[in-house]
Amino acid sequence: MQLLEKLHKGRLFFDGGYGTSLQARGLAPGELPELWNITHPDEITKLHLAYLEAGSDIITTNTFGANLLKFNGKDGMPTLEAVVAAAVRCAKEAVNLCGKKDKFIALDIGPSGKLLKPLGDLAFLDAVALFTETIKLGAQYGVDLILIETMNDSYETKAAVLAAKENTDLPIFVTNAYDESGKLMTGATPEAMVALLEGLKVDALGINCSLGPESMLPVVETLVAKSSTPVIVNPNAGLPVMRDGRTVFEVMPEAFAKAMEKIACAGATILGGCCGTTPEHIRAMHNQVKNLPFNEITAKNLTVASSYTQALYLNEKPILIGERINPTGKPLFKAALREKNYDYVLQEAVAQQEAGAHMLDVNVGLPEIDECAVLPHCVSLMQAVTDLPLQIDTADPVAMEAALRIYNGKPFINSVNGKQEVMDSVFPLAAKYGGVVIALTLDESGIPETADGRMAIAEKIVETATSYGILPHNLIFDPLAMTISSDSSSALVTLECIRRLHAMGLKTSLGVSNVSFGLPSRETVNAAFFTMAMQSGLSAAIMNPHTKGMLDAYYSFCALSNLDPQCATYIVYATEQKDDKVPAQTKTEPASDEHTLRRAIIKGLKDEASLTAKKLLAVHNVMTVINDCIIPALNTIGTDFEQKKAFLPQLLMSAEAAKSAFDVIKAQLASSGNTRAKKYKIIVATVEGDIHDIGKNIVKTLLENYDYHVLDLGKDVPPEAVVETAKKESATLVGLSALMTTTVPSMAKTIELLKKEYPTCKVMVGGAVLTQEYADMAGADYYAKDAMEAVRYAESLND
Amino acid sequence: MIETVFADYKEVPINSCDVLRYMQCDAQTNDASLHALAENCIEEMYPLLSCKACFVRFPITKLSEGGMDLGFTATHSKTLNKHLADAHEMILLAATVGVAIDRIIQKYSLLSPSHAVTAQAVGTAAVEGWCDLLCARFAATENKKNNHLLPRFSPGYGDFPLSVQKDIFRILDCGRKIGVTLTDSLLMTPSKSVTAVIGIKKK
Repeated sequence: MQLLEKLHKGRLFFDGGYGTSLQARGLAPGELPELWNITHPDEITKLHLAYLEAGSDIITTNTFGANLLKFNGKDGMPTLEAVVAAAVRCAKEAVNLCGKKDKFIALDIGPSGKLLKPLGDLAFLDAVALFTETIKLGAQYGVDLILIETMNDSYETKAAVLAAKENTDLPIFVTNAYDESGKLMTGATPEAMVALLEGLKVDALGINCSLGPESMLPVVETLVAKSSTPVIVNPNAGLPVMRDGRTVFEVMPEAFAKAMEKIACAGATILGGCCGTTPEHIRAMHNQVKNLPFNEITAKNLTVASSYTQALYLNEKPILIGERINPTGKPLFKAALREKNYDYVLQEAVAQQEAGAHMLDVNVGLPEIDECAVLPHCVSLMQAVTDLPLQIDTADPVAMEAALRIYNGKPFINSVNGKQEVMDSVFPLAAKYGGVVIALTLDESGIPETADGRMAIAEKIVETATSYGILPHNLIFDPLAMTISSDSSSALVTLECIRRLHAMGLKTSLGVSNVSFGLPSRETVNAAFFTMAMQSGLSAAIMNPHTKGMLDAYYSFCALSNLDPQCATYIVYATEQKDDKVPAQTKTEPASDEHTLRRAIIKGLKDEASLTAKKLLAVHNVMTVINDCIIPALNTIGTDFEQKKAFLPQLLMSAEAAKSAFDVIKAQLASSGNTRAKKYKIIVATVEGDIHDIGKNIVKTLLENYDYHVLDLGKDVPPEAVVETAKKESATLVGLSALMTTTVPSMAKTIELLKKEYPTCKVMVGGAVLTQEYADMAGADYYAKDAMEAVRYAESLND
Repeated sequence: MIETVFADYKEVPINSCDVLRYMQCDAQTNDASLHALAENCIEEMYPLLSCKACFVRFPITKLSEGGMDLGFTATHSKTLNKHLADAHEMILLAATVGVAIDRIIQKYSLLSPSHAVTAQAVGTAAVEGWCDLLCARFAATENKKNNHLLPRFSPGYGDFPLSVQKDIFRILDCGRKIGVTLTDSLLMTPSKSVTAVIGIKKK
């Protein structure tokens, strides 16, 4: 019988621990177990065989750490191919010796041993490439399935699964290591992992390692409740303890078997062991569990998105999707996107989350920008500042794929519609990467005027999606809100569609505010329409979470519809609203606005700085505000810092307050079609190999306040990228930061290349370990010991 | 035997004076905005601490040609030799406060430099607090055996090379045990992690 067939018809048994069992056979601490495939093949085969004889249906190759980072054929290490080939050979030999039918060999894929970017130094796409090498070899040497295990990071898990999907047709099983908090080390809940892994269509998913079987039970129960995919449980035999001078694991075979019986009763159907478990554990478990009745796994049909930490389910209670990250109608954001300045994206991501959005739409479509590069970049940036799931919004399928590939979780995909060409380009992406697809009820002939017409398109979309393997619970229908100012019956048609879709058990979404286009006091109409739509069964609204009317409608509706137990959320919301209405108490003597702005900047009061700047701009021109208030204030705090009268965080709070005043100025200039002239271009970057960027970001903020056009290349930047950008942008100055002695050579390399390729450009350096001596050694033009020195040096180049 | 231990964040104290010090401020400052900055960051980050550690004991053997064998590596570091002069045994420790702290630091690094500096300081105070708690526990155990614990000594101190991190990570299996990994340039991720050698000597 084929593995996938067996999987859905009965219980399957994995093997147990290898590392610990091999240590009992003489593997030294710190020695790489994978080497034993080559040096002690008989021991490996014997261990496999012992597991097969104990009742394991699936044995895992001894390749947990087999990747190119460790086995590169250099420094006395064998090649990866030699390790994988030997490992598969040992497993096959054991299956032959065992002589029983229906035994399967899993290629074991463990973590890379690296944390992925942005928190670590392994790029996501490099991780995919790394796993690809091992998986290709495993498939080539004839394994029956791929087991991705002990992954404690959702992103690395996704990288390994993509590598498996793209290079083999073999079944893919995935188990994660959840810690004592019931989450992955990088924060994902079991619900989030089920969403991600089912989106990627793995064949079985579950938990391994981490804890003993008893403590795993809560995670197992959650996995079983949310998953429509068979659940694997491979626990440790508890924690290691010393007994008679030997390391043993505290859970002995009998106790292990009893605990695994509970796990089987909880609904896990694939059982085995991890660290500390032995063939005796597997035998005891097999005997205990094999006669328990097997219940078929039921389809849960949940509509769910996820981020790298949390899952978001669409149930009766509607969700709010923040629409602000979209350049349409926002000249400042458009200008920022063209300049590759993503501050707006970052600030809005956080602001919308704080305002109560449950998910964020991200759209960066502008004709002049390279959306295929910018969209994934913005998705990554947003995932660095918010843990809300994202809705990826683009009409370009190439940009969509690039973003879906690197998204850490299962997103919403915005959007598809009834046009055959669009469905044929978007559904394959959703099928491959996972995602809930927003489906607009329009097609080649436009938007039907009647509810019947729109419903017919919805049905066509369901049918086509199903043919791509996308089930209706992974679709959300947007029956399109049209303005009532041109057709006063249009809202009724939309609401009728929502009712009918809801009655069919389908989910719905609306861009609510379109309904009032062309009318005065739009928010009043929008809020009323929003309430009507929710009452008709709306599941999600794409809206501006900063609009009070919409939030009032939302929280009231939830409270009135028994969707907010004890009205708790409503009460919190209403109380915060009330607090906001209390006028700010001014503690200081009345002072001129000029004085207030200077003081606000020196004291680092952001809100006060932007409010006062607004007031001043009503009566003064931009240059007066800058030259008489902002610059003198910046100079005062800068000098205080240099004279050690102010501390670094105070300097930074002032810089941020000045920035908020500048933002007001920028908005004013943009509305009058002007821009502020910049002094010259400066590139800033943290050098390759270094992943610390606070120092560099501090320098960037200060330089921007002094009117420099700063291009921030981020952290871990290769020398070539620095030099190429400096040349392309004709930068006057490059600022490089390094925090560790180990990355100073990379700084020197960057400067050397820069001096060779673009000798007119100046270089300043800084960072925790740097000294004048290091800076000289690296060939820098200037060593800035703090951010103010960097500003002073930049200013000196103006002369 | 490698032991792995966890702690609830509430067991690990974070002192706001320490945080101000790591923010490069005078710990005695009475500037309300600095205190507010520190306290808000502590409040946000404290519940996110995920304190984990793994450790193993090794005997220390003096080598005939100078230097010492620490069980997992031989070292000729003069500063470490001096530090461990009277020690007969040592604990090799790796400890972390987890990746959620790095996420906050990263978030503020992109949003607000003043908060980034503060979050960085809170993370440092937290991991130092966690190591202090571990060392207090080690000291209590050693005290009963009439032993005395020496201060922590980490790779990168004096002439004890950072390259020894590779040996430490191999021996302690930090990735699997506590989720700490090493970058190519020998930085630890999560960044608020510590590895150290802790000498044990007879009283």
